[in-house]
Amino acid sequence: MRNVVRLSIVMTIVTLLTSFLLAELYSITKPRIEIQKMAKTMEALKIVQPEAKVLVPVTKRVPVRDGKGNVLFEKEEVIYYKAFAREDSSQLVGYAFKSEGNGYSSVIETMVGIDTTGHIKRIKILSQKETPGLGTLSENSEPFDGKKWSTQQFEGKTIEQMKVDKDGGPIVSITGATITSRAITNSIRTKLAVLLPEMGISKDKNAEGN
Amino acid sequence: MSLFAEVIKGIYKENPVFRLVLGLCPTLAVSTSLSNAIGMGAAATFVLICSNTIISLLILLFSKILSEEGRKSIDKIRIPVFIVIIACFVIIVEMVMSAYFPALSESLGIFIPLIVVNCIILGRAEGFASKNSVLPSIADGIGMGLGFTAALCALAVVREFLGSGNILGHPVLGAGFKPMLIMILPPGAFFLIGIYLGILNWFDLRKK
Repeated sequence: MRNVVRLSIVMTIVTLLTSFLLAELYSITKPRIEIQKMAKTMEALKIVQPEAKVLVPVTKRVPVRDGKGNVLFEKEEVIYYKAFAREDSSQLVGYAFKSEGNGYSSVIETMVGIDTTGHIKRIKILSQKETPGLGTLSENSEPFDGKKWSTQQFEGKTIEQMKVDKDGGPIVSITGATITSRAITNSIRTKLAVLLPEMGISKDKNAEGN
Repeated sequence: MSLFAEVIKGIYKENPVFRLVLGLCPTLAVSTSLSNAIGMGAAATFVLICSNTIISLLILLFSKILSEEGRKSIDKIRIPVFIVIIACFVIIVEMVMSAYFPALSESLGIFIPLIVVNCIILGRAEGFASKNSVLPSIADGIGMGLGFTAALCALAVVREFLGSGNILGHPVLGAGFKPMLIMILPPGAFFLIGIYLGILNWFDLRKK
């Protein structure tokens, strides 16, 4: 009995001390981590909507459910951004949104900029942990030459064209990393299908000018 | 053994990767580029030094305040206690890294939290820090950490050079160079570790 008490006391003291230390450090580093995330998002938004002066997040209340499907509470979530060319939030030039897809070994997050007709302007890979040297090529944004993967090849594409070459689409996939390329392309297509109606862009309007 | 010898031992004679053959999983995974290797090495070294210090201090404390019988019973939970202490330092590294070095923390990804189960660290806690006093334990942590970093770098230099034609992210081979993809993938690391082990053993045999 004495033994059990002694062991518990030691374990309790050790865990209490460590959790106290970590809690303190967490409160110090958390704002810093948030800032880093925000800065990354802002930087990506600038890349995908270069002419935009103001970016306004469009939020939606999303219900958070527990395991049984009961609504616990509602959460405000940014679903996409509206990009305006003027400081006073006039002259809409397009939208930007984040898409997520399961790649070969990680979730790939992509920031996508589209114009008012839903044609893609630019994309930027936000985060991915694919095989270094293979899937990492997806970060590469050399000018598109028609043969090799480049994020610039997405320019001007519509939702219908969001397919990699192996699936019969026009997107040239990364050599040796089709799964990664497909994940990026498909995630954009799925997200576009959800968001285009919300933005008030009809399918016909999107297909125009092809 | 002097403290200096304790440090040197970890780098060559008892190098954790090439001599003790410990911690191969993170070694295979993060030695794909030199910057990753340095980042991972630094993180593991920090955790090693801190955990070795705290654990040897803790053992010292227990030996002062507890009776012989008490120490024996405490021995039963030494592994959980070690793990908690190691995990604490790993999370410190993870939080600080993602707050101040976001690029590095992104490329190392899951392998930072996995330092908790890195057998080099638990191995040194159990095999060295719990049996030696504080100063030698710190020296051992520094030596093992540097040895791990050196091994990672030795692998990463070759893998990055052959696998992507870069050194520290700068292209050193012309555009005509076709990268050897296998060097970037885990099998490439196995080949290379085998070659390094072979060379080191050959050296030892020749000395005799």
